Amino acid sequence: MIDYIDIRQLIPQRQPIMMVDALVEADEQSATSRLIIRDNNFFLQEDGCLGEVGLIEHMAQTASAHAGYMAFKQGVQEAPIGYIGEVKGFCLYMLPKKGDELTTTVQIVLQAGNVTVVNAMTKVDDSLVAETQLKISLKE
Amino acid sequence: MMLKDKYFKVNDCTKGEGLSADYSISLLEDCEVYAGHFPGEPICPGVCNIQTVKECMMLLTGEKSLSIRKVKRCRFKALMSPQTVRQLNVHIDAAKHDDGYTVVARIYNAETDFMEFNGEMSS
Amino acid sequence: MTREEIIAKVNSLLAEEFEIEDSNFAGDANMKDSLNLDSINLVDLIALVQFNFKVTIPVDDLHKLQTFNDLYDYIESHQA
Repeated sequence: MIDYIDIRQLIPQRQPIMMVDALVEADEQSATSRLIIRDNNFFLQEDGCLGEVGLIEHMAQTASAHAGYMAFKQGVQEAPIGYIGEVKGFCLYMLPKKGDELTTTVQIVLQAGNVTVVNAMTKVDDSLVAETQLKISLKE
Repeated sequence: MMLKDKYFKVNDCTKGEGLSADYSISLLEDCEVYAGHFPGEPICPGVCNIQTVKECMMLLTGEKSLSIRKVKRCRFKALMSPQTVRQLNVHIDAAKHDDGYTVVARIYNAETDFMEFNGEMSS
Repeated sequence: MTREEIIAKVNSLLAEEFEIEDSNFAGDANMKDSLNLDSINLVDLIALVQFNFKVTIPVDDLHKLQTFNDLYDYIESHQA
């Protein structure tokens, strides 16, 4: 477990599109985040479920929070801006709904220049929600 | 729908044969997402462009709800800002299967290719 | 692996990854143009070489890899 850091220190996104509540674990190669799906979530659908693209954004912001945490530990004040370059092999197993708490782990596969390749996996309790590979390119 | 008439609006639709179509859309600069993405620097979230393809697929198929089951590959080839991008085309080539639709889509305009999507959706 | 084996394996992996039918690339052809590589899918090329040949391509070696021959040579000289 890492000590609590205000997520706004780790990611540049702000409401209504902050899709990570907190980073709960992090080391050089991986990180884990949490998000409770509340009724003001930008990606909430009329059927009360979180839209798939909200899941992808949540996974991407977990990867950004990891990069932000590593930068923060090196004394960088401003969270780096990262853009999704590619979503590859996304697979949806179930749609989480309002009230669910997502736990997402990202694992760095490769870093080359300003592009980071991560595998992301999201669960609610022990049920697998979705997984994907993401390429995040950090703004120079 | 989550984004239609909030993030984008449809200006025109030209149907091709089968499940293919071209939607001419514009971005809505006052969408609330830009307050947080990013403060002082409005950049279109890539995932909102995936959702735009999904909602155009709902219009094209008449499905009331669709779920993105798989994304084989979705490439974001250029950054997009609502302040500089006036008009966009969403081209969709879809095929219906017994368990849903395969969807190949592109978002582009005269100057730039922004996104290429290849995935599966089901109702 | 012999050079011929490397060329055959690299070409088939590249053809599959970048969805190109005709996979006998001219050795002196430029990879960036033939595969229309940019910073994002260049990473796919690096990952492919790393996982299939156990050869790591550090970022600052990337500029040496302009043509397919450069890639074949690099793998041949760096394979375990």
